[in-house]
Amino acid sequence: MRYLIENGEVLIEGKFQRKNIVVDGEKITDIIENNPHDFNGKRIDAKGQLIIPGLIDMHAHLREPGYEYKEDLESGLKAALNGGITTVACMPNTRPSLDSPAAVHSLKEKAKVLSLARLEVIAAATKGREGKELTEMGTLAQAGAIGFSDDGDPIWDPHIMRRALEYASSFHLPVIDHCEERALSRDGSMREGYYSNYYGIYGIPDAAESVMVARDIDLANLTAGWVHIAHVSTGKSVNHIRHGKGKRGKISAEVCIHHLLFTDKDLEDYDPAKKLNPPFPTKEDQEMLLEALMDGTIDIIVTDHAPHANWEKEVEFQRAPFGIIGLETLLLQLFKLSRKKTLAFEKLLEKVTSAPAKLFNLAGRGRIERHYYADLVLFDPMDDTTLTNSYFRSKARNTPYLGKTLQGKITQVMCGGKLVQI
Amino acid sequence: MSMVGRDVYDVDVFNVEEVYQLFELTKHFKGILSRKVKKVPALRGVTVCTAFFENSTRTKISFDLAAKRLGADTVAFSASSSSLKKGESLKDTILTLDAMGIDLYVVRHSEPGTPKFIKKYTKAIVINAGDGFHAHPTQALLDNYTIWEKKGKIDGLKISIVGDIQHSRVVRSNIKLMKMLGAEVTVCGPKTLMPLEIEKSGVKVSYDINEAIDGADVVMGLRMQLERQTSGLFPTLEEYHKLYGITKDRLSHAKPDVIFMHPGPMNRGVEVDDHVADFERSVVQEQVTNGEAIRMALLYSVLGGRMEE
Amino acid sequence: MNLKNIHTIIEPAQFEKILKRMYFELMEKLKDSEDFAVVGIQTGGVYLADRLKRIAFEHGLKLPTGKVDITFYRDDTFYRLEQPHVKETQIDFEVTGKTIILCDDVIFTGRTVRAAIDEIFDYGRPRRIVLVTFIDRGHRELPIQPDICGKVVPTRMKEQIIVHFKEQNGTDRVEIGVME
Repeated sequence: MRYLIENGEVLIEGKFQRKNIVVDGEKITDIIENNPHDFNGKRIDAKGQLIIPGLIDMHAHLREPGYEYKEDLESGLKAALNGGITTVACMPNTRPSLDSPAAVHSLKEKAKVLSLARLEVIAAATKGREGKELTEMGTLAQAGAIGFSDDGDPIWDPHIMRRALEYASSFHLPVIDHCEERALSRDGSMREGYYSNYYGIYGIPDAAESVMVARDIDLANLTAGWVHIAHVSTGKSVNHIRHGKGKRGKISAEVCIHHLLFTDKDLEDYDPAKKLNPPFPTKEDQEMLLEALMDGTIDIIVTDHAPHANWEKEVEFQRAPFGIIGLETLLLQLFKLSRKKTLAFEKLLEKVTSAPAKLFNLAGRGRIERHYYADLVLFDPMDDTTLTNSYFRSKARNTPYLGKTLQGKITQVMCGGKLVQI
Repeated sequence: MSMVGRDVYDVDVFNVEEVYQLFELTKHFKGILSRKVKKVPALRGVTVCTAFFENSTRTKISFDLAAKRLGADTVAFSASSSSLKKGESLKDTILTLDAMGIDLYVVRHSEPGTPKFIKKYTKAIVINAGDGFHAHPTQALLDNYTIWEKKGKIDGLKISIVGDIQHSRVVRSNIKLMKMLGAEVTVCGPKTLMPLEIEKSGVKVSYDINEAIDGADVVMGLRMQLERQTSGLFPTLEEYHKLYGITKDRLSHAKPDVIFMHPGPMNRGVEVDDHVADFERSVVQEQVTNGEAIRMALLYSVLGGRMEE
Repeated sequence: MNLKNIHTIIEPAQFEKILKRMYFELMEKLKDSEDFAVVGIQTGGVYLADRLKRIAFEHGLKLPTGKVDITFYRDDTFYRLEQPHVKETQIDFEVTGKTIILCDDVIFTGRTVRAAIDEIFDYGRPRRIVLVTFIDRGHRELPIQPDICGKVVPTRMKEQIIVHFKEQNGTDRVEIGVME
């Protein structure tokens, strides 16, 4: 199928430019200035729209296998496309965990058959995610894993972390660590500080995250391995990362979109849909996260999409499970962030397109260029989207944006040259 | 301003004028409590449910009596004997109670934010009787009423609160109310039991009990729970008593007309000495009577004036 | 409450005459052996009770007096929208077995008297209650009538009667006005 997507503002080389895109089959075959009179294929008029490469989310929980009542591959990948995300990397905290090549392989096959958004798999770093024995990283890499993590949980044993970094680096793949010293976070539900005191909620000190970040960075520099710090949320962690980069090891980091838009103060209504681990930062830490994002200390933005059933979340705040869904609100939130903090939308979009593609070596994605996959999102900045119950394709609804209206609207999504029904 | 229909999550749902209105009403209700027939028919036909998901004797009885003395019908829900044990969610519990026609819930729960959570599932008025260590508005109201009654004012008084500040809802609500009414508050206790950044609430912080009590008009002791010892927060209760126990000797450095307060129940020999607990400037018993009167005033103020459907 | 067209319908001299007449009627109603006390309903009734007490004293009689505030006994608690201004209730004597002389300045629907009677009953079981009102303005909604009345003044619903006692604000007089 051939398409000509014309009259839109296309994100190329970090700038929106008036260009027309020719798609043939799966790929982008040409990027042209003119509007040809006759064109053998379908024409899509993208006047007034922004054309963005399909977004890449490197941290999502799709809950299959084992927790399909919260989400499964189909609903998760549909949700991704609904949000303009054409590549999703899923975390291994499923039941059983994704610690065997067979599990990784079958998930990837299923995703291929579903033919929705593209699935990348992050396999478990340790068997059963128990933190005791390394998984068969080599065979997992062959089965298609692009990284290793015990996410949901930290790799608590520093010796195991060291060995994981060493072993994974032989395949040029990262160990992605959920940095949380549980002995410090204990039974906390929000960031410890003035507001946790004011609201009477047990707090998680920022040091619970940063002590392990410091540990992992030192280990990466010791072993010349690659550590990717998951969902950075504190100023202390930012400082460690900034000082740790550029040495023997490879240090990369991600920040979750919600941490850039919400702060600890926002928990005053005790809404469990705002309960997240790591929790919303203080205002000061949020400023540091944004600064780190802009200066490259933090490399990419992710959703940490964490679906839960309604009955699990509709309980007392401290008793609710952690997690916010994000696949279907990521792009809208990025747009909101750009207006709220007067940051260039283009710069933010890089963090969910070209940056993750480059970091994780995802071929043919993250840019609008000849020979790249035709993974595209058409976005109307003047329209708006009301996030009603029926807007969502995910099985879950645990987001503070439920029922709210956000500026901007995704009008078309194309994945591998196919238009998606949204 | 009419307080009719107002939910009481914490003391800051009232402005200063309204607090004093409540204090004036409390005086009248205290008068009723000294009559032979301690009852007025003001809230006849109203159903008040005391929903206590956490154990309590004094606060529960205080609210129950307050409602009954105003002529209301009361219903007591206690978590231990309920279907919550069978796994029914809080949401379903409230929906069930509501279907039986409750006009007002008095809620105590170990989770902060529960009163606001309950309000999502009911149109009845909700009064917070203690949610986790977040707030306990009626305790703060009765504490401040007691001070106002004894001292004639609150503005400009020096109030010192000693004990486990971290885990106390009584302290949090009191700090808010005392600051609203113009008092100068000092909190004192071991550092492991002092919340991070509490000075941002506008209080003085001291780790030395003599410094904290010096020149105080009011000294309030808080209950020190035995579990704190085991969770690494404090070595022993004996050490606590040595460093932070309120003794007659230490109190002598406060103003000569100082009053001693405690939300109860007291751990004699831990946070307070026998002498202090019983001494003539201790107003602990009166706090209980005042608690009842002010709860009557509160129920009367928020329940009156509803238009019949 | 804003009143227009206010004019005085009872001047000080007549006021005093009415009070004296009420006092003598009251004394006739009470038998020798009766143990009685005067109770004024806040606020107007309290002034009336005090005046009766003063007149009694001039005649060598000591009248025990009390007062009741009926705020918590009203039947319209749920229709109120403003904060109540509660005044003092003071009953320092034993109610059981006594003849209570209940006083109010104006009787209108009768609901205030009903509330006062309920409140008195919470203190004990009176032998009987004698109702004394200075003005009866009609429009009764309950079957309650004064035993002794100063003057009957028929009024319309939108009118208002105000009884001023000199202890309160200078001159004894009764005024009538129209509510805006």
